[in-house]
Amino acid sequence: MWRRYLRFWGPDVRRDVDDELALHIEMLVEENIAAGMSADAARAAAERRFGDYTAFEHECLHIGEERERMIRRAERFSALGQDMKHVARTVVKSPGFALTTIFVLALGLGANAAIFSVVNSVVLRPLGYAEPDRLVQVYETFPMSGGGSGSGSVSIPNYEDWRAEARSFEALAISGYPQSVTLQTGEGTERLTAVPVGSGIFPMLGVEPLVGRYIAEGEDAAAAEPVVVLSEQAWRARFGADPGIVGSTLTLDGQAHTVVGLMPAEFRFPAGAGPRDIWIPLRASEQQRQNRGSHGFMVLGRLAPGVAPEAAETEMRGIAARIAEAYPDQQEGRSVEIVPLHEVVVGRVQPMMMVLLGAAGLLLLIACANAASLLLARAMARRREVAIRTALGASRGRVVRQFLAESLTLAGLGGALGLFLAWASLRWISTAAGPLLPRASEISVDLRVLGFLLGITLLTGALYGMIPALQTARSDLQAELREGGRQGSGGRRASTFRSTLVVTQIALSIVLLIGAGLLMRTFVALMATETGIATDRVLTMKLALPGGEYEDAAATADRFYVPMLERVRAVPGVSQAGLINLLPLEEWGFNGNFGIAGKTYQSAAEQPFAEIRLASPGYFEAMGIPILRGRALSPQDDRDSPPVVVINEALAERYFPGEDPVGQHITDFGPEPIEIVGVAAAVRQGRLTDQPMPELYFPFMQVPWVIPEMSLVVGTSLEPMSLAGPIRSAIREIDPQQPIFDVRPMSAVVAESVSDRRLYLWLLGVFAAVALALAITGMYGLIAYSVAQRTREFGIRLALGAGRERVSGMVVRQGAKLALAGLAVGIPAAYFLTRVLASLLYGVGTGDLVTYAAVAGILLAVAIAASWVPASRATRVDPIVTLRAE
Amino acid sequence: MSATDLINAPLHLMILKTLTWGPMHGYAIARWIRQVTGDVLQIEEGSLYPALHRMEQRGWVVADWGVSENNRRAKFYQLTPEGRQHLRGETPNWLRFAKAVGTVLETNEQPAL
Repeated sequence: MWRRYLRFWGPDVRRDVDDELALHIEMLVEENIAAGMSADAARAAAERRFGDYTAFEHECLHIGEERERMIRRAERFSALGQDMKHVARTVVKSPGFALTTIFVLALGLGANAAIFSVVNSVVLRPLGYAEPDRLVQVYETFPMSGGGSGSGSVSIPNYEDWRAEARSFEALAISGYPQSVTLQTGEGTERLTAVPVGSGIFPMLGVEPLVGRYIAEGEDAAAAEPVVVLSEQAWRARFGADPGIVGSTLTLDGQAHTVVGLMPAEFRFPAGAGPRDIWIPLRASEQQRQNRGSHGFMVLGRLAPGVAPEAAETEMRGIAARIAEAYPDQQEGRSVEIVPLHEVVVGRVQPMMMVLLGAAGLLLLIACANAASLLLARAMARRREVAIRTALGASRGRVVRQFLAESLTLAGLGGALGLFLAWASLRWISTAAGPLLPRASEISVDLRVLGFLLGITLLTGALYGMIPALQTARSDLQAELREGGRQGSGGRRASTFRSTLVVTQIALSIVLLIGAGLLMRTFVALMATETGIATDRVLTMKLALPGGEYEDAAATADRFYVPMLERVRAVPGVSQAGLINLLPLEEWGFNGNFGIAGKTYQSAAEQPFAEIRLASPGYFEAMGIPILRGRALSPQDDRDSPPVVVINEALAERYFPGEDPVGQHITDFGPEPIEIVGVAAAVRQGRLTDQPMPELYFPFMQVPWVIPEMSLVVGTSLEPMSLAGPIRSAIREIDPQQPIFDVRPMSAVVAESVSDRRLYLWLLGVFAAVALALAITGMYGLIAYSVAQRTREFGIRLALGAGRERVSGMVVRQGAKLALAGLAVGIPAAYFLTRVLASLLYGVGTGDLVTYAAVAGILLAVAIAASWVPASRATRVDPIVTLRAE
Repeated sequence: MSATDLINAPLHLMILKTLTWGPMHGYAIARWIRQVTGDVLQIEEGSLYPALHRMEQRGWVVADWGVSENNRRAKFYQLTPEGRQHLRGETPNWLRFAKAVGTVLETNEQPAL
């Protein structure tokens, strides 16, 4: 009996078959009775004849059910087809609406796709080595004055002791840091970035070469034949993808190297920002091999299977303690730190990536709210149509499904457009982020990104379609059909809902605006920081000396550096010129311990430690760094005169508090004590946000080793870059083959040191601007709509004598109310959420009143401006016309 | 081998032919065939109804519910253009086949080997 109700879901196959067969039996019974049998005998005979019909009843059922399934499938497809046709009709009828929605969604979806691509490539994808989660980097740590310990590079004797004793590792390998080498070809010299690696590195990383082999064991010995492994990028860019490259010879720094292999483009070592052109065998000097205090190398390890990094660290610390006991002079207080390689590479940028992803997510929410608002507006306009359709039998589910079909289709189109936008912007991001983000060259759209995009597109479509769908489906049918279709209670409810959507958009965009504002103030504060250098009057360029060209340091100085400086000083427009080994705000890490004559130190932590700089006379003058006490370096400080050094203010304050350092001596640096002849103002070494470190400036003529790369700094009162050409020619007069590169004014060096913040500011700023535009557009749409709805009311008011200002004031007040509501929600949200930016800020706190006030002010101003147009339109209503039109 | 086993092959054709006289329900179809063949062919219900359902699936007939002559709910089958086409096409083939079988069975000549 209850099966009858199942008929609502479609024909009941079982019942049909039963009925059909029941009829047959009845007819048989009647025939038998007509032939003379009794009723019972007739029925018995009929049923006997009918036989056991369960078998073919099953067959009939089976056939019937299958037919029903096919019909239902066809119905579903036709319903889908109908929905699609409806969507197409909608798009054609109101292309503006469709295009706007697609565009809005494309912005949100594209932003997310782009940022996710970056996050995916940089953070999520495993490093391109074999079993990368077992790879770690091993640092030496040293105690710092003021507590705590810093991590730094490793010395060779320590590395060898570790290798001998450590059990936690399957393998340990050592490598140098990327450095410049000159390649001499027939046409001239070029500069390549080379990474000196120990022979254990390649096997540990486990990536097969494209062609040939990698550096073999023993090839890093001093006596072995020099070999080189190329990267695919360098092979394509510098060597023209020469197929016969393996086996040929390259002249690097004056030495012939045989090319033994080619590594694929996906391989990068060390992972991190910057080019990696070639890998050469690590050839350490005798001094570096013996001196436990000479830390210039990095050590990688592959943990033995099943060993956790913490366990390995504990073992290594024990080994380090034993080493420290055995060699107290150099190793006191030093220990070991182990960091998983993935963290080393991406750890620094991971937090910011997540922030950007969150910001993109907020933007998508705003886009969704915007699209929902648009859809809701249209749905309200078609209320009557929907009501009629529902009255005629369309189920609520069908109505919702139609909305969803529309929203999913538009979302899909938006996603496709967004993918294109993301792909286009990724090229730019990848280039801009190249020097900043590790693995920037790997940024690409892969399957995971596509999957992510598909997922958020579907979510977006479902989300923003659901909202208006549910709103419309709930509206009172009777009310819609009865009235003119305008003032139904459903309409009012929808208006409130639209207001909520607009307020949400405003609040979310406030969060983004405040984030961007904070970053902008940080940036401004950074750029305003005193660098201590006359940045707009200095030109810098790097000079790399081809190794082997000059026999020793003395020859290098006499035959190149000194004459070159003289020649450069003679160029018209040059006021001063000098040389330095490391530019401020660019690189640092060339440092060491020293002693001060007459002072003793209890522990390693207290021992003086400073950055080491090798400079020429004229350096301080060219950079505009004032000398606070004593004198600068002069040409008198050469090989034959007593050794001198100039210290910087930071060193003076830290190690000579309250005294005059000039005239005192530093010790433990070379054979004799070195006299301090001057104190220079401090400059920052690494980042504008860090404090200047103590520095020792030695005259480069007084150091016995060849300095392979120096930066030339030129002070001028002209525009720095205008001198680039003449100076280049001047240098070439001394040495025509001299590679000159990285020619830029000092202001560019400073700007590059903050380029990461600039990139983040740019991205976040774009998001915030788009968000604000979307929110204000949404608000404008809502107010314009409401004005259109209330024309009759305004007409009455005006007819009754209300002034025009009164009417327009009502509209503007509506806009201001929305903006204030948005502020009320957005400001606390922003305060809570922007805390994630704390690590990036400089000079401002997260609760910076100026930023908040500025954003609030801008928002109110824009909101009022956006309300102005509908407001003025409201006042232009002719009361007679509207009243008559009723 | 009974007469009923022989009819399974051309069963569809016979049903289609029967329906050319107008829509009928399953019992009426069986009754008509029995009467026309003089009780020689009595179609088993176990063959009739599955055949009818299969033909409906194939689109040769369509079914509709109506009221039978004794006022009961009955499923009436009706010929479709596709069904008519199938009947027209296959009838000559089957008749030729049946005639050939008859020739073989009635021949008095020994076939040449």
